[in-house]
Amino acid sequence: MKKWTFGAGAVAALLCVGAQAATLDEIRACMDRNLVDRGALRDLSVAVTDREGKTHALRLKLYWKPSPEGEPRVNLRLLEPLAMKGSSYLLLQQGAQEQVWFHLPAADRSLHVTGKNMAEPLWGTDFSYGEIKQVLGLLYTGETTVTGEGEVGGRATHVLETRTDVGTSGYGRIVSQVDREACVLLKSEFFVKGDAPLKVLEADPASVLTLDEYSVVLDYTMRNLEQNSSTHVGLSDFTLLERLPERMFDPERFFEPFD
Amino acid sequence: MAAPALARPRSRLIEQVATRPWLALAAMALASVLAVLALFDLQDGGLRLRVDPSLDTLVVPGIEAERTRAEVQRRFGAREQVVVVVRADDVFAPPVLDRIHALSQRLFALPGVARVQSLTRVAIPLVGDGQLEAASIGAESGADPQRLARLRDAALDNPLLRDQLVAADARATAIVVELAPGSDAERAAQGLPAAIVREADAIAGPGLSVHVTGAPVLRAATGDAVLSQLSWVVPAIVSVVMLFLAGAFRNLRGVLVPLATICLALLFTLAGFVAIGRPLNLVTSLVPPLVVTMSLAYCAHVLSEFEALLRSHPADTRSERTRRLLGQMAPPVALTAVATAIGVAALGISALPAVREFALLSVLGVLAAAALALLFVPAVLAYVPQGAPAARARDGEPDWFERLAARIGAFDIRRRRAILAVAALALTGSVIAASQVRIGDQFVGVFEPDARVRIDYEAANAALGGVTPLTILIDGFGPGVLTHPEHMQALARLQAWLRTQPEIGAVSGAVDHLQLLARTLGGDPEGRIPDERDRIEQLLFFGDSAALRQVLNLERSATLIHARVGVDRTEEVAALLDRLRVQLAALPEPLQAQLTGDAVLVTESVRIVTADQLQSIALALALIYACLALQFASWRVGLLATLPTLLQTAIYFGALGLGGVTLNATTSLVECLVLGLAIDDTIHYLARFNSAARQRVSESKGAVAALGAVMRPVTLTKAILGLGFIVLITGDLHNQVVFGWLAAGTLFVAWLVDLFVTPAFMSGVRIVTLWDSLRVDLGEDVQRTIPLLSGLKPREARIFALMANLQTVPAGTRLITEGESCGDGTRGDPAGDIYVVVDGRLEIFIERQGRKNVLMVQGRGAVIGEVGYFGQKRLANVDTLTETRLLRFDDADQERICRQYPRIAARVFLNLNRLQAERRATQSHLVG
Repeated sequence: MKKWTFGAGAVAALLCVGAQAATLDEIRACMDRNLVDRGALRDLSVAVTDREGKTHALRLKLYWKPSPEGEPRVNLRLLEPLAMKGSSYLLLQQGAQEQVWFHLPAADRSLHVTGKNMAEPLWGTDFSYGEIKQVLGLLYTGETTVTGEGEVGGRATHVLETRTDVGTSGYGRIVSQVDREACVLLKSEFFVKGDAPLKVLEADPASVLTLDEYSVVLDYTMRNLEQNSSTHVGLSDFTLLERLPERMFDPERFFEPFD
Repeated sequence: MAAPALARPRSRLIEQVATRPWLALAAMALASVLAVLALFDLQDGGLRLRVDPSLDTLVVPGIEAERTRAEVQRRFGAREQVVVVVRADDVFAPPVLDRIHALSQRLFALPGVARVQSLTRVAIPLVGDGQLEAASIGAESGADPQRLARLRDAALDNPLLRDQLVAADARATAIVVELAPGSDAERAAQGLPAAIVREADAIAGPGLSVHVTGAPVLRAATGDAVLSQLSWVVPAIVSVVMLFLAGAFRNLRGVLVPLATICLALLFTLAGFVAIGRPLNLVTSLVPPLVVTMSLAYCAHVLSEFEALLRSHPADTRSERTRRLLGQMAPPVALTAVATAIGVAALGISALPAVREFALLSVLGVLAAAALALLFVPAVLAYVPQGAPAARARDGEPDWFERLAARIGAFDIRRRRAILAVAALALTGSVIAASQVRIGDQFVGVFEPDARVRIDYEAANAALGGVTPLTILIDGFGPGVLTHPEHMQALARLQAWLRTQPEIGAVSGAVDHLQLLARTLGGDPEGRIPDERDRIEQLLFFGDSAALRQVLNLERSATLIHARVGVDRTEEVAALLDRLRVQLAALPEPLQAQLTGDAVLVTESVRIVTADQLQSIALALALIYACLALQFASWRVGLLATLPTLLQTAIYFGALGLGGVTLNATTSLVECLVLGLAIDDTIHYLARFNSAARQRVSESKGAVAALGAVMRPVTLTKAILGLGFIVLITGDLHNQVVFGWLAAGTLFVAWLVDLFVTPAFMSGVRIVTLWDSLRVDLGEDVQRTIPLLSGLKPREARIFALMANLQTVPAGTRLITEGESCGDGTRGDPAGDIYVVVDGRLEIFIERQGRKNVLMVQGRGAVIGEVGYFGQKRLANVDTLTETRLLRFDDADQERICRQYPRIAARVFLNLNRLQAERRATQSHLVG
């Protein structure tokens, strides 16, 4: 097992490529190169500030391992709050299809969730089932076009617009800004309709790290403008797991203990 | 008998208007320009006056329900909703679903619409074989009948959908249209909610009906109705009353002068709205019709007097006529304006800002109307052709109106006891009936029964079992409190109790979410509330959804229960709230509950406002009493003068009780307003009665004469006011229709009281007005120079003078003849009179054998004839040497003074005895 700890200094050097990509394919290819092509673990610290101004903390472990076909696979394990410990969430993507399973330890029951609830909030955060993968550097599923160039926090960006089915995703379009140099997602605005976004996901530009061939963002904040709430996601550790078992991404066994 | 010698100080203002009418017109022109500048935006020509149709105008700020509403909004948030209710034999029939889906899509596409929930767009959870599908019917409802049947069963079995989005019998469904944040004006600019109604109507057809309701729809309809009233009711009042005035005066000035007056009064009042920065709302929209009506009434009074002056003083110059007109009309118009202003100003203690604004603007409007009647109208009349007065009966002969007044007056005196007995019975009956008055209002009762907005509301109410929101905020005051199973069980019991209440159509809360999650995620087919706290927390954690967050906060410390109330009357809601509070008090510690929602806000506000309004009425009565007591310089007479108004007030409330009309903001406003108007004519009557009774030395004759003098203007103004108010019944807002009927009816009762009760009641009472007492001139240093009045305050001395008879006698008049019997002291028999010399000189003498022996010459302060008062024969003759002013009083006057002003009477008696004693001592000294 190989482990990098961002911010702690013991980090492998990752390189960024394709900073000048201009077409959608080039941008996607550049972004994909930031995705680890083997097993990986990230520790996520999540702080939700609700509309009453109260803060709720969650700690999760995010296991990542692409399928043999290269499709994203994510397993989330809850560590805190303690009442939720052992709760698990599995996201598998097959082309444009996203499938979700979750496991409730108290009920000792796993469920395959399908259908039109991808826009529902996840675990008290401001992320929905569909939005959580954005922090991994994945674009929202839909029909995406490059609409121009922009800037976020002094960093030049490509501006992409993704049209989605509002009935399924909850949004009519998502406008994303991808860093031209590091190919990481710096900002996404989620529109139900009209010109006022419902939510805004923003990276802290100062937290963009480029090590070896990979670039990552360590801090994201999702703000729900309608609810006046926000969720901060901090990626503290990043560990490459050479032998992450397949059962972690098996709908029948994804909830079994790993470590 | 000579009239009382009263000084007539002439107001400088009257003099200015009489001699320089152009100055008054210029001042009015300047005020009008300023009002136009305030009212219109000169850059775009738009009206600065706004309309606030919101329910907030009927909600008392700062009440617990309002604070709870703010708390709910802060902690849970909520968008405003328009609800489109679709009714069909089976809303799950594919053709119906297709139309619902098409409508949902079109509604979502409308600008200003943020989200649309409908049967075809909402996610319906389907559970089976380890799978949870968030399914929706969508556009393909007819493609798979089996799947549709499954979705139908799931929807009707889902507590978050059944009775919320679809009726349990599947004969109605709601399309909930959530609006983007924005003001009503912004929405109106976007065409909302009219566009929603239009789109909804487009899918209606045979077997499918649609109804659109919700707070934004009600507000938009209210705003339209308020504007419609301004554009229809006000011109209608003006037209109807103009026709009446044309018939009454039968000349052009009788129509055009009032028209100009009401235009100005309206202009000033609407500018007043802009000046205080307040919009027109449901309550203050009554101010313009009120001001128009009051302006016409005052104007009619002045015009009526002007016409009378044209007949009685045809040779007057214009300025003399203006001077005479204002001299006659300024005091009563000013006094009645003040009395009306007091009536409406008493509403200023209301907790409801809209009622306070109504009070302020009405006072401004009434005072503006009075100022116009006394400044603008006489000034204009000075310039218009002073043609022949309106046709009347032959000069010197009473017309039918005057003959009728004389007959009614005589009837009042003849049947005084019977009338007072009927009045007492009416008072008693009214008080008993008034005890049956219920406090209450209606949520959509402001609209007429045939109004589209009300029909839709009631149809939606019937289809979904209620649409008026009632929200219960339950706070546990600590993180995770609500995930305790016993707390969830308590909430479940509360929801179950709510569902058994007949007033409630639907209930939803966190318990419904938890039970659904227990079924879908927890695998419990019964959907029971778990016994373990961890399990509840995990279900809520994994079952997180936007809908759950609308009823349960993230900290799990507070939750909402949403209920929809199906009754429209606040008294029914109040009964429900009373029962509900008992249930809420029984919630386990630490749970505490508070109530809010439109149903609670309006009901609580009606309670508070009505209590306030009753206080306002009491305050108005007290102020009017104080005003009358001051006016008549006697607390007792003030009380007597207030009694007819009290009777009219009792009859009003008795009528409410008998008619089943509830007491609320509108009906309370009527009484305060009419109270202010009704007292006007009582004041007019009493003022006339006072002088008439003194002139005729008879209260009975005075009562008849006073009625003959005031019946025409009283009837004219009451008719104008009544016609003005009755026009309100043509408006779109039901509360204004009720206002119109009640105000007109109450004025009619007040008119009957004026004609029959007040004369009968007051005919036994001699009164002194403040106005009279201020005008009495008893000369300098009354206390020292007139020993009989020694020890009295100047005001008391003047009251005594008015309660007695102050008269001017020419030189050479024989007052007393020696040897005359002093009579029996009955009223009108001068043989028993005592005289006090105010000024002038008298000679007292006897004649013996043809020779005149002058005993003494008396001047100011002398008391003459007191032996007659004590029943002896007159001992000497008394002649006036110069024109002499005398105070003459007899035994009856003394008795009257004793009853009404005992302190004054006691002092006068004391002085009289002392004078007698001094005179006897002098005589003894002379004899001795």
